[in-house]
Amino acid sequence: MILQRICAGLVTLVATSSHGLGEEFAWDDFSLPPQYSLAASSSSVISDQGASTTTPFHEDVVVDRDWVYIKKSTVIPGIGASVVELRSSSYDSSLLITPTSSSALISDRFAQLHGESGEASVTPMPVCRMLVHAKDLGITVERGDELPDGSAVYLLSGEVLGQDAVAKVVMDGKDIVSLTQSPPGNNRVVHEIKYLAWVDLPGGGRVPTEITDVLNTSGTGPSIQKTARLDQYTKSDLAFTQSQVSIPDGFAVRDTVAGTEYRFSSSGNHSELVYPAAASQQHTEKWGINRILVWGGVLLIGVSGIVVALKRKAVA
Amino acid sequence: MMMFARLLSYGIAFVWAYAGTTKLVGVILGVDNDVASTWLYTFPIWLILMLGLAECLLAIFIFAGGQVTGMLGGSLMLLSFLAAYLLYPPAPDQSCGCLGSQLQLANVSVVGRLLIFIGLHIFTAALLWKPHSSDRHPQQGTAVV
Repeated sequence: MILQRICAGLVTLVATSSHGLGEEFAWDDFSLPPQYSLAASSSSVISDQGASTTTPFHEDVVVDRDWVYIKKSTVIPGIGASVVELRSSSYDSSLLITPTSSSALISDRFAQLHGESGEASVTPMPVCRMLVHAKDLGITVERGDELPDGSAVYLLSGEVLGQDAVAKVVMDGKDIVSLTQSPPGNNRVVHEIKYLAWVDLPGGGRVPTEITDVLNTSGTGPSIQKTARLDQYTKSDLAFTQSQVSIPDGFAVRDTVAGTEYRFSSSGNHSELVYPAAASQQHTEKWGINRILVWGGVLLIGVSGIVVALKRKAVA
Repeated sequence: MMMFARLLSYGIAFVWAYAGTTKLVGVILGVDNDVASTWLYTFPIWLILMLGLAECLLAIFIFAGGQVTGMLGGSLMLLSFLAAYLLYPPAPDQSCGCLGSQLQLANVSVVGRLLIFIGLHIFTAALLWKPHSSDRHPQQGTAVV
């Protein structure tokens, strides 16, 4: 009996000690499937000094425990959608392509933060990654007081989603319900993401179908409010899609990992990006077909003006 | 010179006719997957049908003799197309599906193609234009040759 009590005491002591060191999570602690794809209608409302701008987006996302692919398009009502950014990121590298500025950025953002920019606004997967890899990220996780409805509360401190913050994650069973962030030493909530309307996926797992993401950095009200409604969501089992995303020829690439900048060529012969353009580049560009056509068009319009002027003069 | 300009206008009208009919036929018979993935087909089908129809009507108008007005109308259509392309750019790796794709000009920038075509329209219009003195012909129109 005494031995039993000693053993029970030891077990309690070990349990208490491990709790004191912080909560540890495994992927099985979450209801999200290992991988799923989603199509979301989302809109961002940016408020600035009383005025607000609403931009509707359409997002196609494939999210995995180890990578993410995001295609974000602006929606012009009645016309269609135009891609504004493509993100394809894994622990190897993060790729951001911005067609509107003909540029691409290669970084190690995903490896550093275990998530991609904007990802948490459409899926709680980066929150799960952050909790699973909390130790690697230097984030401490402690269990807080349970909410009246029985939801579990976890208190995080460290660099949460790229921000030095004190954060609170609320979980209802295995569903992540919300993530709130406050500056260290301040209780004011500056960022709150709510994952609502969870549904069961055919094939296993559960996903939230309504997400609100409110950023309130000024403390005077929401500065950026994003809402996403998932129109389609399916469990998927794809190989990493980064190889399917290629940088278009001629795009200016900034590789922050290698510390290089260049103009991309699919042949592999990337040309150097020089500001201003080097004399040799100016020479080749000078006689390029594109430049000839553009200046040819302008020249034709100019000649047309001269022809019209001459004809008018002849008549006068 | 006038004969050259007239031939040029017919050539341009032929391009419009080709562009319009391929759009109309493509939409009516069903667009194949390769074409559907182009930038042009990111717009709704009704808009492409209207565009195809407008291009065919423009070609008919030019062939019927409204060359100067037709050239100016064509330039306006091209300018609006250029504006749409710049304000609403295609996705990476997405071909335009517009002027030049049949002419092995796929690697030539769309802006270059459109500008040279706009220039050709205006140049042709200028060559075909017959000036008139408002004193001598106050009621005569200037557009139709």
